[in-house]
Amino acid sequence: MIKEIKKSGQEEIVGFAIILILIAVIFIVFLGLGKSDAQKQELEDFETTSFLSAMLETTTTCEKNGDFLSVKDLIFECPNYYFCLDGNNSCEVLNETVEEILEVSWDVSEESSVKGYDFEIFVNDEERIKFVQGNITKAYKGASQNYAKTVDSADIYLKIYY
Amino acid sequence: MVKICEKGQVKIQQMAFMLLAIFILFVMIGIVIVSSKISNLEKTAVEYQEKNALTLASKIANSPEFSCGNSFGNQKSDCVDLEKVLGLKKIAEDYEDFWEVSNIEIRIIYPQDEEEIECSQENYPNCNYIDLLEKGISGFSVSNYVSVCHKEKNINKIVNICELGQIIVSYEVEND
Repeated sequence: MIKEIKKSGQEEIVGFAIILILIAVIFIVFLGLGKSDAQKQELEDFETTSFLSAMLETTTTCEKNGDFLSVKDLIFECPNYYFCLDGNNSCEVLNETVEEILEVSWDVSEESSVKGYDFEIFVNDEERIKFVQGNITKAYKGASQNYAKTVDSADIYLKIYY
Repeated sequence: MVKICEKGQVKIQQMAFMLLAIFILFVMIGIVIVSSKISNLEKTAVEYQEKNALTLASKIANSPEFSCGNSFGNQKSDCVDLEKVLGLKKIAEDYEDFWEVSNIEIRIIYPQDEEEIECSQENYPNCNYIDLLEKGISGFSVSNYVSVCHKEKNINKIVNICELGQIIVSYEVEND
């Protein structure tokens, strides 16, 4: 009699354990599905790529041999300590222009969908410009461009946080 | 004997309740997974639509009617020739069916001007926006960054000037 009660109790425990395992497996599968969605936070970089190429082509106030230099030209002139025709330092003009362009193009605020940005220019692997504004979040759109001119190379990175 | 029978019935009842509970649990989990999948599908569809719309803005900017081509040094992508667009404005209505959009607006955002001046043959290049179909922004609209380039005389030399702009394309969505 005692043996039968014991056996019945054991069966109940096994059944309970199976149900618990089943629920745990379903829970893990569900969590896995949720995680795969969370990893897909890096958004399309179409807009940032267009922005970066348009920004680099923007003409600045820095004049050289009768032509106005673009942001891209200034990136290569800045390390050579070039002074524009009006006497301004090319690095200062580059800094001001990039800062103003970023400010007018990306509205960083709590109300806006853009929470922040991170912009960097490296010339020959040396950081020349870095602008960070707002908050760094997990969802961002990123773009990069690299150019080479004679012996110099420039890498430009932009991340827009949402 | 009756007792054993009753015990068996209770066991069967227990089993039936357990199976029902597990079935309900599975159904509930299934509903949650299916609804999450459906919402993801809707999100993907919206993202796909947005991407298509953005591609449309870029496609129009890079079309021969708008693009800079080789006029401003080397070949540039996402570059709009302001002179071409001014010329195109006169015959924009003929292109309406070709573009399949309700309006195209090109706006210069840098350098910034406090005043909004629409571009015309008279004030070019001292202006900051051009409305091609003059219908305003209606329906859905998408924008993409472009270089807006034109030529200017600097002392005795013709120089290339490129400004940062946005091409804003508005379109109507047909609901099937």
